[in-house]
Amino acid sequence: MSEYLHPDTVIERAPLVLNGHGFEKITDMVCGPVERKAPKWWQIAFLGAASGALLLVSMLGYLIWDGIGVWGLNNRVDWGFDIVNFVFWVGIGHAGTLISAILFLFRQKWRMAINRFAEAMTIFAVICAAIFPLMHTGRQWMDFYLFPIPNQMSMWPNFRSPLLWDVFAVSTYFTVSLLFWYVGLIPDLATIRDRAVSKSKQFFYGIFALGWRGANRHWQHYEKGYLLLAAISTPLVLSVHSIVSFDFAVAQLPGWHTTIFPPYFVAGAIFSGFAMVVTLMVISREVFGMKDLMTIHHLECMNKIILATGTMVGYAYGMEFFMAWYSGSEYEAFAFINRAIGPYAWAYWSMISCNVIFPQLFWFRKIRTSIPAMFVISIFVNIGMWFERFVITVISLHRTFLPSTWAYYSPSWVEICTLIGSFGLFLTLFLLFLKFLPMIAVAEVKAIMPEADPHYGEAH
Amino acid sequence: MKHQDSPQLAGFLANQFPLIAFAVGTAGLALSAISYLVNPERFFFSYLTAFMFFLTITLGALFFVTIQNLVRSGWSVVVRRIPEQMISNFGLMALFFIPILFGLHTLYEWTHPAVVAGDHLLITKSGYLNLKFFLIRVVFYFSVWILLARTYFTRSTTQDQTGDPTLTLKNQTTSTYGILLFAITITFSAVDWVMSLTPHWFSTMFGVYIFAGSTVASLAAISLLAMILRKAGYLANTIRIDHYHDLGKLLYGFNIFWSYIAFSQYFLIWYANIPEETFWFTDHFRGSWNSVGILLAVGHFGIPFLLFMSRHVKRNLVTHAMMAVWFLFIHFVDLYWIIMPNVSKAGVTFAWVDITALLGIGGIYIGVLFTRMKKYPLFPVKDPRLSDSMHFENV
Repeated sequence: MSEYLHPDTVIERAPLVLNGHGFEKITDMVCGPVERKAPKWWQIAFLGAASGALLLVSMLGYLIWDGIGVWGLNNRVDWGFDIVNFVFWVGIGHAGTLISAILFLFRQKWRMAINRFAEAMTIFAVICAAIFPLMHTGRQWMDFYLFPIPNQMSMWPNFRSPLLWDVFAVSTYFTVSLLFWYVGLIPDLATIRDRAVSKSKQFFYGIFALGWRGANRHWQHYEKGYLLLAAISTPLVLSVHSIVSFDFAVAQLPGWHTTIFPPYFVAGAIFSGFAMVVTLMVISREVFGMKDLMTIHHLECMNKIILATGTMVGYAYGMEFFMAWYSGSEYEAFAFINRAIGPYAWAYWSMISCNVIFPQLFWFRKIRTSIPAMFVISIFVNIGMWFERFVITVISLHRTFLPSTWAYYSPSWVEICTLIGSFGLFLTLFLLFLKFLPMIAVAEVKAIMPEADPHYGEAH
Repeated sequence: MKHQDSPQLAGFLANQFPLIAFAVGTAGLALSAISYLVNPERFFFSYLTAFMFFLTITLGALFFVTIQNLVRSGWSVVVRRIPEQMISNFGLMALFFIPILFGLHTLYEWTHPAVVAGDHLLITKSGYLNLKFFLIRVVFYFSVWILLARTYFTRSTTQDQTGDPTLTLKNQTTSTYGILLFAITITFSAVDWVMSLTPHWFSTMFGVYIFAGSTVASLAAISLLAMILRKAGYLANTIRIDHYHDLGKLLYGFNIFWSYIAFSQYFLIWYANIPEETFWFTDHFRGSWNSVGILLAVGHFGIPFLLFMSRHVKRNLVTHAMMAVWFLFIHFVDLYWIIMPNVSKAGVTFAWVDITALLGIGGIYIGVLFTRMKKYPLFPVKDPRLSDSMHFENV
């Protein structure tokens, strides 16, 4: 690694594949985990994650059986962990589309090694997110009324409600992300099909590879389709979390109603999504031996985006505070002072330190290229972003205009177990992905290697 | 083999054109001065609109230079000198701010102690909205902008002679804290100079809104300036169609960003319907201002969204130029709609000072710009990433 020149200290671009692996070696590296028997650690991890998912299922079953009363909500704080977890998971799901769509349009080649990974996370995170609003309706068997389905009672959802827009925004986002992910997978599924030795693998991967033969015409359609999907996904990166922010910002509640919410939520979502990608990538590249494909340079680029979006989030916190004072509205001012020194100050300061203070350490190159440091900071960011949603939802709600309604909210054990369980579901799906699908877009990584240049090896 | 473009501006654009611009500018300023004698109030508001128009374009250029340095961009190297020249006009913009200082009492009601004393909200805000602190901030904003611009420009033009690649790295380092300073200064200058025209009103999005408009207008201006140079026979093989295509894509993207921000700001205030916030929009939709609001929705979003989407429109320089002119026009309409309802309250009224102030500031701005352009190469001739930029293809 001593030959590795840091791109910030030289004009040259950092290599995206280290140690001079050839095309064949890369295919072997990526397809290996799919083709080999699952290692011991995977089996243990899967067992743990699946138990978590089971916990989720049992908590949801209990909830449906007994009703929303098993949660710690009260008359004043009627949105608690359900909404916090929903926004948290939707936010995690933002890294995937940003990496695949926006970084694609910006011609950021380093995205190639991580996009598959991040897109998979997006899909799983959105699945986890969708659970919470579906469950918090109370009568979950009536959830189909969330969609505008014509019925004999002429009952329609309120089209002016941002909660309905959420239904459309999240389901659109999920559909497009899934398509994007799947389209990108097709060439690699074909690779695995071609390498498979067992009949069943040939059959199943063959079905999903849609008869891909790697012909010139296939690639032309593929590239065009990919570009179009990227263009379609780009506004979705902004729209989903903007609409989630509308859930709060259209209200008149101080702490919820402020105009900067849409871009601020989007920045926060990308911030938390990237942190989650870094957390999982640091582990995966280690255990799967992918350090030459997911290099320090890749991680450093991710950390820079974490720094940038974290600073944007800090800007939004600052603007909110400034305008709360500048507005001259005593209710606004109270809402923010109550955040900082009220009964939930611990949550507020956890958020500030995890989101604004610790990520600023990434200004130092030593820290943003150090694996242990970035691992710890990325976990801090995950915690901080969860607390951000807690701060917005719960602290704003617990003390509003009428002091006689003020209350304190503590989650019940069911809510805590549901949150833990949602991580279980997420990791279960993620481990299945690592085992059964190529975690790196093999074809795309090859395309950005110097050898892929038709003029490679020619004298200048 | 295509021949190398001459980096040296000469002939009409270098000699006669700045003189014409100066003449137009002087005439515009003189006519505006006369209008001051007729109606000082109108003069100050029109002048502020024209000032903000050129200031936001220059700020957008500062953002362009900063972000391209920050992300170690390759493709944009050949374009970069144009915004570098634009940001060197911050000193000039500081001079143009002087007349505003004489109009503070006309423009900003919070500068009158008597008004403040009878207004509870203004008393609350007086910790921020007071003359002394305001002037300190003016000095701070312009110092930051002038210093940042000088730093980028000096390093970049020194590199033209020495070819020292470390200057590129130094500009990259400057851009890291540069982007923070930019964010803070553009936000608070927008609050100070535009939002505080209506001192009771507040919106956390306002800084972002002005930033979005600035970026759109300045990308349009960069494209147009490059095309003017191209028309005169410069940079034709250096800033190629591929670069215009990329500028167009950025412009298109940022215009949607503006629409997103503008819509969100309006929509959230409309939906919550809190009188402390809605009055601003009621004032800005009064009478014929309503039509201007609709023009903005259609002209700043609808029309460009449909017309500028196509790759062919971005790559065809005639249509690209038409769209760029449109973007500049609509950016002016945007600022006009934000600022002018404060003086022309019942509806849109046109005064010739609206135009002369624009021509006045614009003429001098362009004159200074082209006078400086002939002193330096038209593109960074020894930038280490020049070859990246020259050979980049937009597939």
